[in-house]
Amino acid sequence: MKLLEIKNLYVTIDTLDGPLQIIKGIDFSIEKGERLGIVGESGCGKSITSLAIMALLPHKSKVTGQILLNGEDINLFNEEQMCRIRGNKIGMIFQEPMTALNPVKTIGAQIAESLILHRNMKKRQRIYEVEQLLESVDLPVERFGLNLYPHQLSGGQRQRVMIAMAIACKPDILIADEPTTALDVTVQKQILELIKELAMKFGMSLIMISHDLGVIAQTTQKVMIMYAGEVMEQGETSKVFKHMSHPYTQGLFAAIPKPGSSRLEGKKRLSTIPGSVPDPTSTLQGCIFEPRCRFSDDICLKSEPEKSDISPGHHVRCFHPVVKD
Amino acid sequence: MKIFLFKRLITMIITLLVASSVVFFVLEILPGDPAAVMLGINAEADTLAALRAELGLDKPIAVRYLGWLGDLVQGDLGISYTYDVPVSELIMERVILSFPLAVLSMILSTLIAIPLGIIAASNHSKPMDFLVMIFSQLGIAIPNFWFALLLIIFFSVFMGVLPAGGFAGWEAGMIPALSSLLLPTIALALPQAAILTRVTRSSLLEVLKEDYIRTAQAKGSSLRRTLWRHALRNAMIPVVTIMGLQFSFLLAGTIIIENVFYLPGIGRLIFQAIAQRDLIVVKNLVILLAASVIVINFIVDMLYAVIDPRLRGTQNV
Repeated sequence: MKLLEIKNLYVTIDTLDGPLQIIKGIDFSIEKGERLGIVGESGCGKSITSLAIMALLPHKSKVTGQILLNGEDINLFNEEQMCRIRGNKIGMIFQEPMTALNPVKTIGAQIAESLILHRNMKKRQRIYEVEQLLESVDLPVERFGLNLYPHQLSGGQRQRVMIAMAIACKPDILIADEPTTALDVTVQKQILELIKELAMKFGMSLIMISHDLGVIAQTTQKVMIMYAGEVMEQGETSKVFKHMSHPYTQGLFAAIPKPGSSRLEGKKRLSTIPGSVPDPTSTLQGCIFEPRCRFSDDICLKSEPEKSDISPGHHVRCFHPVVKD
Repeated sequence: MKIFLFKRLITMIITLLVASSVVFFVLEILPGDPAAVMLGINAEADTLAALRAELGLDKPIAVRYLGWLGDLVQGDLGISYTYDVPVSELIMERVILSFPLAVLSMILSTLIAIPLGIIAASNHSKPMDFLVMIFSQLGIAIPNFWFALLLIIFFSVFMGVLPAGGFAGWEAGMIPALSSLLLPTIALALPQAAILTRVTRSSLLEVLKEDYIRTAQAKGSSLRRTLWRHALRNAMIPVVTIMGLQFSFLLAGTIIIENVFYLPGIGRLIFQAIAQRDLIVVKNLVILLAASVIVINFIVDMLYAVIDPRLRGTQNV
């Protein structure tokens, strides 16, 4: 049995102009200890997917499909049952360390919170546990006391506190939603390493959400490329990166600046994907990526591509997958 | 924290000095000679001059300002022109009524407003929220003197359980004194509570949108627990601000309610003193009220620092 299995997940948000489909039937799964990456542009639904798993979407949204955690469909759980899953079975690291911590509570109290909620511990034991957690995210207790407030810490330090909070109960799954986007480049790598290390050390599965292919390559074993609420390509990270088959994946990769390709040195411009993400209110026929695709033809306009295998454990949704050699 | 306190104290003293000079000089340039008011329009020129000398009105303005400040610090507020009793006595008589009345109204309004605000915010856009908002609208819309009259009609005339007006005085004992303050307290607290309910609700709703609320929920904290443990304290800053303003108002701005209930409060005293050009009473009362507003603001600032550690001026690691 898979640890987490998402089957046919749809997310619809009610707006004034009627319901809006944000996630259009995605499937993926993750085994115990496995690390999965979700990549895509802003607005492709990667954060929505993680919030749907946590049942933390705004009340106006509807989630259909199955979210099986150890075989149990947590999408059917009520709020009270979900409270026992959140922080306990699934921990989450958010993007903005500056605003994701409560400014009026000490970091000690905020880390201790999930322990209070999910573990029956005496106060002394809890303090010991929180100190251990701070040590494990490289915030030595001698310098970073439990009584510090978030505003006394830097962005990177706050993100470490955030990580300590998320792993406090050693959840089965750790979701990291763009954990380094708001951070200084110099700290990004450290934070990524830390998350990966902790996931391996405690045997936690990791879902890493990012728009940065480099981050995904560094931390994950499996990857899922999302576009406008649909999965374009998914498979083992090494295979996908070696044989990028969807034109969108290729476009994403080509848009990464490489050393020595700057215009100052007389080389070509940084490549971009023309156009922008379709407005979710528009009802496109055919392949969702068609308007921005350089390989599009009649069939792409008329019908939607099904999943097709490139190699075992690597599939793509495209009529014209790019095949190398 | 100590540096923060010290800084605030210095600002407070400077504000008091500025306020005192404004009060003094504004009253100075007002037309109307207290001596002429006391002696009437038919007074002889030399009698006037003699009275002016007696009251010290003939000395240079700077000397009088400094003299007044000196007396003020020593607690000597002079003698009222019209009542012919020490101003400090006059004010004290009123303070023992107005201050407890303000405190009681504030307590009552807080006890109504904060729970209602929480109920409204946690049931946002549901019937309970609308109900609370209707109460709040009514509380703001109903003039409090009219509400006071309704209270008198019901509790004093119809039920006959509470006095319709007047103040029994503290020497008559706690129960008679408090029961004569009960209706005015309710009348004053209602509009305050209505406003405070709105502020609490909207401030909470604002805070509930913050990222750290979602973080708390992601840790498994229920919505209710999150509201109490995470949102409430963060939502308190605007609430405390409004409470400070309301308390300042309650100290002296309650003249209408004082008149409805025949209460000898500060509001009435200041009104009468102005009407009778009893400038020495006006001047000292106004500066004392200004001082109390400044002190209230100081307390509000202290409360900010208690609520939000970011305002304590602590050092980074």
